[in-house]
Amino acid sequence: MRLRQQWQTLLLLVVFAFIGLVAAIWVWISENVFLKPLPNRQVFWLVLAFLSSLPSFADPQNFIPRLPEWKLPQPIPARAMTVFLWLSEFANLFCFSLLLTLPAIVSASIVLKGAADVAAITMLVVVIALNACLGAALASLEMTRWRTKLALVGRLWRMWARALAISAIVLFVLFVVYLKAHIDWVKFVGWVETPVGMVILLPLMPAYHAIKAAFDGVIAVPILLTLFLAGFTAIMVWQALEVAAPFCEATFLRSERQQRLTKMGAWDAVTQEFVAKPIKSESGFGLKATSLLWLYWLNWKRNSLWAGELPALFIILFSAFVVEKGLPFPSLAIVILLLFYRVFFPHPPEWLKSQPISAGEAVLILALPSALRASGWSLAILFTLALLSPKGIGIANFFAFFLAMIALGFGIDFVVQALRASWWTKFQDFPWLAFVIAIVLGNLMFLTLTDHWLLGLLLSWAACIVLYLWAKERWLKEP
Amino acid sequence: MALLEVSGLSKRFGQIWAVRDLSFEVERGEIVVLLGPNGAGKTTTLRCIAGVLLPDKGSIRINGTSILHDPVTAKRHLGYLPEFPQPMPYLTVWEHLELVARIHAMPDNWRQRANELIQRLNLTEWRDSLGKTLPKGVREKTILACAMLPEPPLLLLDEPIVAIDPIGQQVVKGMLRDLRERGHGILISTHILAFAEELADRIIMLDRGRKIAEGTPADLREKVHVGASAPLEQVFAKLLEQ
Repeated sequence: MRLRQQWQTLLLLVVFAFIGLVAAIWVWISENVFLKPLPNRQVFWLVLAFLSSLPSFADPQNFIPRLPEWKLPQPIPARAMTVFLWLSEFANLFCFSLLLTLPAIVSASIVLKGAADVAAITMLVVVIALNACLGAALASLEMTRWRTKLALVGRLWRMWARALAISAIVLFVLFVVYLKAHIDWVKFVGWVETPVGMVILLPLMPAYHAIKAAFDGVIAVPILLTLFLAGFTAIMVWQALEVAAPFCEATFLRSERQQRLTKMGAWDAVTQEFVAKPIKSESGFGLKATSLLWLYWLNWKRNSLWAGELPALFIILFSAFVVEKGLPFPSLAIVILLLFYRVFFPHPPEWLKSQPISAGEAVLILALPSALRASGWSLAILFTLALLSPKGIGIANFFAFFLAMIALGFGIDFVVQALRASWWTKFQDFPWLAFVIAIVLGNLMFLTLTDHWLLGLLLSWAACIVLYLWAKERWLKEP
Repeated sequence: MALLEVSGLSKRFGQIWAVRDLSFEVERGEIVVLLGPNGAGKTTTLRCIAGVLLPDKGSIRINGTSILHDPVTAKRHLGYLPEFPQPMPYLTVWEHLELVARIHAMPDNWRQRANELIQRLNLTEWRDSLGKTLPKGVREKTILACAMLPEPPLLLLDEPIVAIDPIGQQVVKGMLRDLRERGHGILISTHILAFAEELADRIIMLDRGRKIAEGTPADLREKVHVGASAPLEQVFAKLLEQ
């Protein structure tokens, strides 16, 4: 294996460890207020069960890899190609579920119990793998229009899982609305483990009980549910093998269509149901480097990013509203949302980089919207907390948090700019990434230790300056 | 003083030298074509000159200004069409031109120039279409128009006609000849030898990052001892053999 690939693998492991560490900190911080009581823990398990069972109800088309056009006319048997497609899809789904859930489960079980139950964690990995396998099989059955004898069972399973997912979103909204109404969560989540609840939530139950076993130890129920899932998955895989050839053909056709549309430059338009008709060109604003803000504005407006502003604010306020006394959770939400927003802004192409703008100015101006967004969100959090917290927030902490969040906004943007330039392939990125992880964790620690606000503030801005230099260096060195 | 002076340019990716100790000049009113097999270092050379890649060694001066020491001033004197022109997905063709005009702080008459470019490059029907919906050839024309809009003294074009239809190619060639007549310097990288033959005042041949030959097409024919009517393909192959 080439050195670069080894480092890429290591980077993935670092990210994995980072998620685990953040999850552990979160659990540690919220141990007394959130995860310690049983009903809250059950909600936690249920949420993670949804994430682990994601392949059962996710749209299969998002996980099947694209076939390059040169592969289409190759003399490869349909069955061999199908196995390749299934394996690729299985690997995608497995890694996705594992990355989302395992760090949080392991961290939480260690924090709450002092040690992780190896047998239970192994069983959990098996359940996640079975779910991924089931998802791959259901995807091929769905793409071939459920034409086998037993496909109806798979179709019902998928509809069932999707109905549960929709219900969960509705319940989440109700949870937010009635949070202050002191809903009886003991009664509510207790229902999940009754026979009726288990039958209704059957598609989620293998994952739910496997996660529960990581905390409470392995008993007969999770083993039986895992065996049931294994049997069901085997039947669905057998059914999916029957439609290997048409599945392969459907994938080819889908890939071919996508590639042709991409070549024509119309794939984005089709996927977003956007008609490629002319629109009204607008008059711009800004001069020299500041005109990049116009670029950002047009992207925000025409990429429908404005539609996410209210939900984002809702998530931020919700996170502040739930935790009430602490800032780490909302600030973590800010980090995630900023990343989400930033990836929708395209990386500046080569011709734009050849324009007469200084690298420093360009990097700074492109990061300005993220910093503004972070400052707006931090103000919303601070005012919400000031209203909710009986003691209020000290003026020093108020400004420290506000200024630290601006630094975080800039910093996150600089990181995305730098990493997108190099696309995670540089050996030199490793120490930088480790530095970023340290800074984010440092920020979170500072937010929990409010007496050290000045130190945290200085740390945030020092990190921001270093990240700025990194992004600038990447702008200069990478096309 | 030449319009573009490249001296001792070297760029390395890992252990591989993409460009090594390359020196050449482009004068005003001259079209210079970079030729060479795949991986010869043509695109890397153009990227270094355009200021989107930092060279490891050497100096690049555009109109007397070093792109390494004063990149903003040097970039005012160049227009660049990359090998893979990517318009911004949510900007129309016209907005791309306006963005360039704003970055260059051009006076208000840029609109007249932009309209001329749009008409000449046959972009009228795409004027208000978003970048993400443009076909490949139109993308190339859009970024070419962006490069030409500020009328920079030096144009750097990487495979400028590869995705453009034959009529469009004639238009582009005509525009490049006009620019040459008006004293602009043009540096082109291409694999299309007929295009090079038609336009080049001088050809620079690269192989594995080094310059292996330089001169007019006639000079190169003389160098490899082939007749004056020998096709450029033959000259290209003989130079690589040598």
